[in-house]
Amino acid sequence: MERKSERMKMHQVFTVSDGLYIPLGSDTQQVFKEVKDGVSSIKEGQRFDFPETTYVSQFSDDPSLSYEGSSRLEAMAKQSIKNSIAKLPRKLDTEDTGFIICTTKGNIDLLEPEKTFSQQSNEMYLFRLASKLSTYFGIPHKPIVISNACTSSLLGLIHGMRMIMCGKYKHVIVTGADIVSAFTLSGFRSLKALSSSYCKPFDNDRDGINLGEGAGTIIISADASLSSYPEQIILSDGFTSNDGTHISAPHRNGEGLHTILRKLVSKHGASTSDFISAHGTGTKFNDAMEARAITRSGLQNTPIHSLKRYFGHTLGACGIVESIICIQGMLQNLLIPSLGLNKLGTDDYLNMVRRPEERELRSFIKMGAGFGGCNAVIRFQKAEA
Amino acid sequence: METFNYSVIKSGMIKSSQYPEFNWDGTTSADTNFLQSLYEKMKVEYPKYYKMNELCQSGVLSALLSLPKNYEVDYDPDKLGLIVQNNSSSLVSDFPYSKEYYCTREKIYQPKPSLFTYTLPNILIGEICIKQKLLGENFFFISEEFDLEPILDEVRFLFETGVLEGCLIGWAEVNPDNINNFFFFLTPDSFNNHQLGEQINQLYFH
Amino acid sequence: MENLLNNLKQQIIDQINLVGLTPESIDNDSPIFNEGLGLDSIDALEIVVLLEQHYGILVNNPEDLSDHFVSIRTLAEFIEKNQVSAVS
Repeated sequence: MERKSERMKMHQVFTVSDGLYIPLGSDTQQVFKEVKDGVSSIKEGQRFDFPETTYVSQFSDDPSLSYEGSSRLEAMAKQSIKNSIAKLPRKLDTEDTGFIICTTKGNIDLLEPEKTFSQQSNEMYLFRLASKLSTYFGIPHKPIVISNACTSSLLGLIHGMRMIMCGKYKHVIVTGADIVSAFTLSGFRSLKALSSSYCKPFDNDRDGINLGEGAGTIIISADASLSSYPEQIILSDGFTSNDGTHISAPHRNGEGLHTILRKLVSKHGASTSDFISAHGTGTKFNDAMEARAITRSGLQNTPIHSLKRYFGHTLGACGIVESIICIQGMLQNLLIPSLGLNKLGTDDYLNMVRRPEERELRSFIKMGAGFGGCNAVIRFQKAEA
Repeated sequence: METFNYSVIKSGMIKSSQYPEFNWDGTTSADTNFLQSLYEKMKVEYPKYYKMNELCQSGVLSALLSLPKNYEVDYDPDKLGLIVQNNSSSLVSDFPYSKEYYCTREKIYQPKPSLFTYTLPNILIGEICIKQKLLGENFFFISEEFDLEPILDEVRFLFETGVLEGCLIGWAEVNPDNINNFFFFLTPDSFNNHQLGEQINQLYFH
Repeated sequence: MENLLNNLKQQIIDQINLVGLTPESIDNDSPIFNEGLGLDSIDALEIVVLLEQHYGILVNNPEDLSDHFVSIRTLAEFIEKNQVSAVS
């Protein structure tokens, strides 16, 4: 195996810029400020034609979202990409740039149930929305689309990272986007997975998720001089796995997640990261599974949080959206608390972050899991000074 | 000669490099439901099969026809990956789910939860991983047409870095009128074959 | 009760798409989850839908039902006690 890894010359991958567009704020700095102040965009309200009130993080008619020629999803994705490109110190050479778009349901709000399958509009096809975006930003390469449930954008970052490592691309723009729709809201409702109130990740009284929407973009590159950050940030590792047990329920022992966390621990040691950003959806089974996997991997003393109570579960976008917040936290050496937590309610102990804490942060792990038994972990770190 | 196992399941054709006994050229049978008939011929006996949508049903059969016969013994499940690609994501289930949602919203507002669970394309990956115990890396790509490039780029990386020792790859496009599945199994050895891309394309596009 | 048991079995077969099973082939007292009929958590939710559709019984938290989700008979007894109106 050693011999094999020598064969491929690996490039280091730098995270050079990011852009956010979610209901909590229309760019990273604004969102981060709200998060620091403990503000949440999840609102109680009557939505679609639901009989009861729901708790959702959703854009209300946002005047800055221009829909002309774009769907809601495309408008959000565009805005997050624009934000990320605007921060770069110089123009990207699009010839050397890959583009990966990650979403679970794309333009699902445009599905027309009264029409037949073949009468559905082009907008329903995920590759079409991807090529619309890549044309808009002038990227000549065919865009890559990943749709892998709630790990979609973590898988996008992992694939992009590997494509830079092996020299396929110099830069990759990875975008994750999903919207709140009657389709997904009714679906999670039918699975009894929606919280009856504000979600409470890892809490003893947690009873489900709050859906959220929005888009996030991270630009990764082999060229550190493109960085828009005050310190250089490396995307060092990423792995995926499958539980192979159930299509919608996570593995009770967190087997698949444990397998890939172990890979990080064996490479970087038990102090592999200064904090962990959990998937932490607020369902009974997901949070218990994550706690199990973390304990089994010997990471139970690493400070950990869930960000879902700030802006909901953004489905395919959550991996990227939450990584962006964590990068800001790491740069500002600030541990972000797990909002919505009162009494820890997992059988396994976790070192939950309960209040903002300033301390030196050099690395973190972002985890995710989703339907279809999928799991993913990625690890960011500051470059050695 | 191909150096890898593969299978084709299409409306009108079944072909498997390992199980030629199930090959079918679409002319000899009057079966209205060729998939059901293949399931029965293969004697899979997997009750969960009937709960799946057609994307998953045909994908599970494609996986069975493409995995090497002794793969459970020869490989560590954590080092077996699964990468699937298709055109229409899970539209084949999105559509009936949204219909059901519109029909029930006035009365009891309760669409079938099992219909909803199939409205993600990677549920197909989940179903295959459950049945075949493939526990390594997994990716679901969407592309207008079968596009080997991102798949082989990813697999090359996973083989060269020793993350995987085997990878099942599939194009799985199912809509209400057609099934078009092409699955194959690669190992680091079969990957080093210089004509690999050409062979795969030839088998798929014949 | 006999009638309810048979209707319930047919409704479960239809709702969950248990191909090849008939009401006669399902034992009234065998476990319905895991080893018995082999149903799982999604199937439990399907049964919750069925209770609402056919018997007008609203269940908000499926976990509250675990004591009744033992066999077809325990489920039927639960229906008898809680039925609002027989829709079908």
